[in-house]
Amino acid sequence: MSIARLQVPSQAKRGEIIDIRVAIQHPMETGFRRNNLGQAIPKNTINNLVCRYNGVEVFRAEMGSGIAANPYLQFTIVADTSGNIELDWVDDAGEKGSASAAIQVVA
Amino acid sequence: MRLYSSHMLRRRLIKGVAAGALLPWVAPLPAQENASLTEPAESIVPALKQITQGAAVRRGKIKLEIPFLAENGHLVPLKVSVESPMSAADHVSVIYLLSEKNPRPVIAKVMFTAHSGRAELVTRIRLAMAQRVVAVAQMSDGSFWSDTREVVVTETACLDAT
Repeated sequence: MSIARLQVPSQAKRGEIIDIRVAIQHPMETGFRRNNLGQAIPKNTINNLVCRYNGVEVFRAEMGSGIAANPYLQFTIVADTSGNIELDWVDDAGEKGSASAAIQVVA
Repeated sequence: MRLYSSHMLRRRLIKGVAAGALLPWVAPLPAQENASLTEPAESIVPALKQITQGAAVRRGKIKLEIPFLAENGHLVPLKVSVESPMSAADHVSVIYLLSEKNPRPVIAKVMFTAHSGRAELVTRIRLAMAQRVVAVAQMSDGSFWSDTREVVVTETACLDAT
């Protein structure tokens, strides 16, 4: 289970462009490293991360070994209705993670 | 009060001319660098072809920001942004981040929608060595735009099998 930190402003004006920041604790194994027995450590990166805003997909990232360990992403969305911002991701090992935050939109 | 006597000024002039004479060797370097930036590096071409399916990639619209000197290749901050109204009819659909010398050329593929507000992404990447990083944006109308940045990496992110 990966630990993540999702930062979303708790309140926004209607139509405002808000920053979504997420940092996930994940080694993002490249597949090029070896352990102390000389065995290759298999590649394990978060290959798919989806951001949904009230159930509608607004952002998606497919990451590879070129993304640094403990991936950090900052992107924007337009706040138009109060609701939830949900993030779901899955890594090469099939392990899933998620984070969500509520946002209140004021007129 | 005069700061320079006339012969001191003459010396300065001579020094200036001598420095100018060296310029022909120095000046072509930045020009060459710029020329090479317009052409994608060979190692990126196969990945780029797969992305564009033969469509032309133009320079402009997209802006890639990476510090020129990355001390540690394990963690290189990066910001990519594209000029776009981000409306349903005209928005950025995908941004690809490509590297010239990493073992895998595609760093990330990021998809945006009209709901994104701005086509902008801040993240942190790994770089195997000093190289150029290319960002390619695919618009909703199917056109491709790119930007390239050169990065000097002093400590590689690849300790094995680069």
